[in-house]
Amino acid sequence: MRKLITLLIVLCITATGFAQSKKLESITEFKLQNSGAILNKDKDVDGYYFFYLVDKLKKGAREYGIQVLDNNLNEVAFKKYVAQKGTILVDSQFNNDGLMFAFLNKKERHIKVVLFDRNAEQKETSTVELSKKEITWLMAMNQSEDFNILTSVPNKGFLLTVIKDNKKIGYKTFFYPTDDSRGWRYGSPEGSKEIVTGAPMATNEKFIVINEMSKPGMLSKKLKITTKILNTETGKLVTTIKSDPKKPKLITNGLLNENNQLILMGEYFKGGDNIMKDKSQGLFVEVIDETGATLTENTASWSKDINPILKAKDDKKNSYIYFHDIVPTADGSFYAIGEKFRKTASAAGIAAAVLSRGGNSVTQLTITDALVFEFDKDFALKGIQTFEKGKSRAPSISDFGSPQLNAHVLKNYGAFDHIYTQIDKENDRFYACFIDYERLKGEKNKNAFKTIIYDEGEFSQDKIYLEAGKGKITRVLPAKTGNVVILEYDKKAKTMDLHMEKLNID
Amino acid sequence: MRLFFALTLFLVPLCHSNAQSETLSPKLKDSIFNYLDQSIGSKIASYQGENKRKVSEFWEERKEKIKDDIENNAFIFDDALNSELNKIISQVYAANPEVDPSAFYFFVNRSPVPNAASYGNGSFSLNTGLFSLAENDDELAFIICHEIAHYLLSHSDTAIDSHIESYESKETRKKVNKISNRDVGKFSKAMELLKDINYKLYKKSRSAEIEADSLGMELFKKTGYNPASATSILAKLDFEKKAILNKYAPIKKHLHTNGYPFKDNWLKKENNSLFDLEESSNDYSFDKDSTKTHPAIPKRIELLRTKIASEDENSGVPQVIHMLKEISLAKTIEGAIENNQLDIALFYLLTTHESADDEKSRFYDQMALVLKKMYELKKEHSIGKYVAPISPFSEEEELNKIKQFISNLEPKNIRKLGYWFCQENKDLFANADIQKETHAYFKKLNPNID
Ligand SMILES: [Zn+2]
Repeated sequence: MRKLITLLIVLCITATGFAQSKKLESITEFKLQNSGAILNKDKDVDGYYFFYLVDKLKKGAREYGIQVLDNNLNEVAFKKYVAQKGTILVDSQFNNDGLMFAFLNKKERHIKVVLFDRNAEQKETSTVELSKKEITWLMAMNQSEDFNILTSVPNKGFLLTVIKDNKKIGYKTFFYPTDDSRGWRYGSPEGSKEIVTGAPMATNEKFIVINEMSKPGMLSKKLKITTKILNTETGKLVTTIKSDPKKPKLITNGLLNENNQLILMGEYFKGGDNIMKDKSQGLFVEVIDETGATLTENTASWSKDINPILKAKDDKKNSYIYFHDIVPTADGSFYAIGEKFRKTASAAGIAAAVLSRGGNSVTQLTITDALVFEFDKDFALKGIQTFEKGKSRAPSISDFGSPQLNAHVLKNYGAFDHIYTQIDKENDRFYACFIDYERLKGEKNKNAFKTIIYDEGEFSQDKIYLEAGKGKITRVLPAKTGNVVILEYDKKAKTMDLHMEKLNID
Repeated sequence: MRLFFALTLFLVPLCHSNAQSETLSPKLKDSIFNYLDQSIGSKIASYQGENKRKVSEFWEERKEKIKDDIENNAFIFDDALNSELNKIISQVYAANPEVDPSAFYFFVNRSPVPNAASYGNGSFSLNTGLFSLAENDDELAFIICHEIAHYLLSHSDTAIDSHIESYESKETRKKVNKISNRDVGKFSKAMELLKDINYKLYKKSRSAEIEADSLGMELFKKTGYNPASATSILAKLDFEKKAILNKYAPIKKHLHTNGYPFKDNWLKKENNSLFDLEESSNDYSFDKDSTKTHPAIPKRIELLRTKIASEDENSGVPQVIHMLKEISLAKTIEGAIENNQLDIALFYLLTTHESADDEKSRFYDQMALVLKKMYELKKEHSIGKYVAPISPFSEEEELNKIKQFISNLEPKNIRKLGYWFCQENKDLFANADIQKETHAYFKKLNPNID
C-alpha cells in the first residue's frame, strides 16, 4: 500500500499556475515534497494531503503548504505552515474533531504534531525531542504497516507513538486530546532489561489497546506478546493480557466492539513452542472484557478443522496460508482473508537485491491464490473460498525462521499481494483488495487490481487492469470505503487524470 | 463565474469530453474553421502595436482553443436553434445599420452557467444557461448588444495588450528580477506582485464592462425591445454563490418500477466532511481581498438605470426565448448523454419530464440510454471521469442528490432497474429502435428475470 501512495510523488504534480510570465511562474511554483492518503483503522480514506515547499524564509525557516483534499478529491484547505528547513510530513490522521499532522525534522531532531480544527484553523503544536538513534528506529518502524506514528482516537484525540532509546530500545505514546480531557503519556519502563516495542492496535472513547512485543536482545528469538488496555481519559493501565505460556499467540488484529469488548484474532501455538520459529497450531478468536477476563475463546486447528477441508480442494505440498485480516460481520460470522504461499528455492541474488536488509537468504516465497475462510459465531469453519490469482514471488527473510513468521515480516514490507481490506460496517460489506499478476494465455501478462467483495452474504469480484497502453501509467490509489482512485498518467502528453471509481458489485 | 462578462480570455466549457460531435457536418465544420482562420488571421495582420509576436501567439492559441471546443462538442450547431436566435440577432442588426456584422458569428455553448463572451475577432458565444435564465427575448437581446459593444470598443485587443504589458513591461521585469534575486521570501513577494497585476487587470476589465453596458444600451434602445430588461437580466446574473442547477428532481417518482421497487437507500447521503467550511480554506487564494469586495453588478445596474426612462421590466416578449429554452434543453440532454455527463442528463430529464402517463415521450428513450451508459461506464471504472464528485461547497442540492444516487447504485441495481424501466414503459418510448435496443440490452443482462 505504501508503494501505491508514494507513486504520487514520482509523478510530481505542481499545484496551481497563477503566473503567466515564465519567471514568475517558477517562483510561485509549489514544489511537491510528498503526498498520501489519510487512512483510518478500517482503511477508510478520510482525505488526502499534498505537502509542498513554498518559500525560503529567514534563519533557515521554510514556508510549507499543506493541501488537503476530501475523500471526493475536492480541495478543502490549502494551509501555510512555517517550520525549519528539512521538515517532512510523516503521518496524518483525522478523528472527527480535527486533522492532525506529524512533522519530523531530522536535523532539529524532533517530531512536531500540528492540529487543524473543524474550521481548518491551526491549533496547538507539540514537540517531542528525539535522538538520532530514535529517529533512525522510528523511520525503520514506520516502514511497517503495523506501526503508525499517529493514531486517531475518534472524538477524543490523537496518539503519537515514538521509539525511546532507554537502557534498551523502548517506546512512548503521547495522547493529545481534542476535547477537554488532559494529555498523558505511556510507554515501556525506562529501566527495562528487554527491548520493547509497542503500537496502539485499537482505540475508542473509553479504551486504548496497545500491543507490546518484547525480547531480551536484538538477535533473540524469544518474542513475547503482551496486550495492554489503557483508559483513554487518563492513560492509566486498566489491565494487562499476558499470553498464556501454554498457548502462545501471534495476534494478527484486534478491535474494540460496541460493548467495549476487545476481540483479538490471530494464530496460536503449542505450549513451549516459539512463535518465531515454529508452525502455528491454528487460528483463534478471543473476546476479552475490560477487566482482562476472557469471555470466549474459539480456535480452529490446522490438523483437525482446516486441513481436511483445504486438502479436499488442493493437495500441493508445503503450502502455507498467511492471514492478513479477520473480519467480523453483522450476523456474528468471521471471515479470515489470507493468501497461499510456498517456500521455493530462489534464483541467486534476487533476494539480496530486493530486500537487502533480509540478509543472505537462498529461498523465496511463492504467493498464489487468495483464500477466504468463513467461520460461524462459534468459530467453526464453515467453508473456504478460493480466488485464483497469478503467482508472485517474494524473497524469504531467513531460511531458518518459520515460514509463518517470515511471511509476517514480509507482510509488513508489502511483499504480499494483499493490499488492504476495507470494512463497511454500515452496509455489512467488506472489500479485500489484491494485486493480481494475471497470466493470460497468448497475451502479455497483465497486472490487475482485484477486489473480493462480500455483500449480502455473497462474494463477488471486481477487477481493474493496470496496463493502460503505451506511454501511459495506470495506478490504483486507496479511496473511501468501496471506492478507489484511478490515476492515469500520460508520459508523452505529461497529463494526469485522477478519478474516483466505485468497486462494482454485480 | 465571478468575473461575469469580463472578457473571458479563454472560454471554458463546463466539462469537456472527447466524444465526437455528431451534429456538426464536415462541411459546416470546414466553413467554421475557415471563418476562424480568416477572421483571426486578419486580426493578427492588422495589429500595429509593439507586441506583434506575443499578440499573434495569443490569437493562435485562442483559435486552437475554439477549434478544440468545436471538436469536443462544446457547442450546439442546430438549424432550428440558429434560426430562432437569428430572429433576435437580425432585429439588433436591422436597428443598427452602422454596425457591420459580416464577420460576426454566434456560438451557442453547452453550459448551464449563464454567461456570454466576445472573442474580439467577431466571434461571440452565448451559454445555454443564459436561455434558461432570461425571461423574455428583450433580456437576451440586451446581452447580445452588450457583447457586440465589446467588439465595437475593441475591448479584446485592449485586454490582450494590457495583459501582455502587465506581465512583460520593463517595470514588471525589473520587479521580477529583483524578487528572483532575493535570498528569502521570494514567494510572498511574487504573490504580492501577482495580486497587484491581477487587481489592476480586474479593475480595467470592470471599467470595460461599464463601457460595454453603456454602448450596448445605445444599440439596444434602437431595437424596440424594452430598455428596462437590461437591468432585469443583470439583476438575475448577480448570482454569486447562488445555485444554478437546483430544481426539484423527482428521482423516485420517475424511476420507481413495480418489478423492482425504488429503494430509499439509493438516495442515502454520505457525510464525509473534514471541516465545517463554506469554501476551501485556502491561504494562497487571492480573490478574497481584491475582487470580492467590489460588487460589480449592483454598480452596473445603478449606472444603467440612469439611461432608462421607464422602469417597466415585465413588458418583454417571451416568444423566441421560449423556443430557445425548449430546443437548447433537448440539445443539452442529448449532448450530456453523448458526452457521458450522466448527472447533468439525469438532472434535466428528471426536472423537465411532466407528460401524462399514457403519452409517448423521448424521456423514456433518453432515460433508458442513461441507464445503459451508467451500467457500461461503471463496469469499466470510468464514470468518475465524466461525473464530477460532489463538492462539499456546492449548494446545488438537487444535482448533488443525483450525483449521490449515481454513486450509490451498484451495477446489479442498474441492471435490474434498467430492465424493469424498459419493460414497464415499453409502450411509452418515442423511438421504437431505442426501445428495442435498450430492452434487449437489459434483457441480456438479466437472463433469469421473467
Ligand atoms: Zn461584458
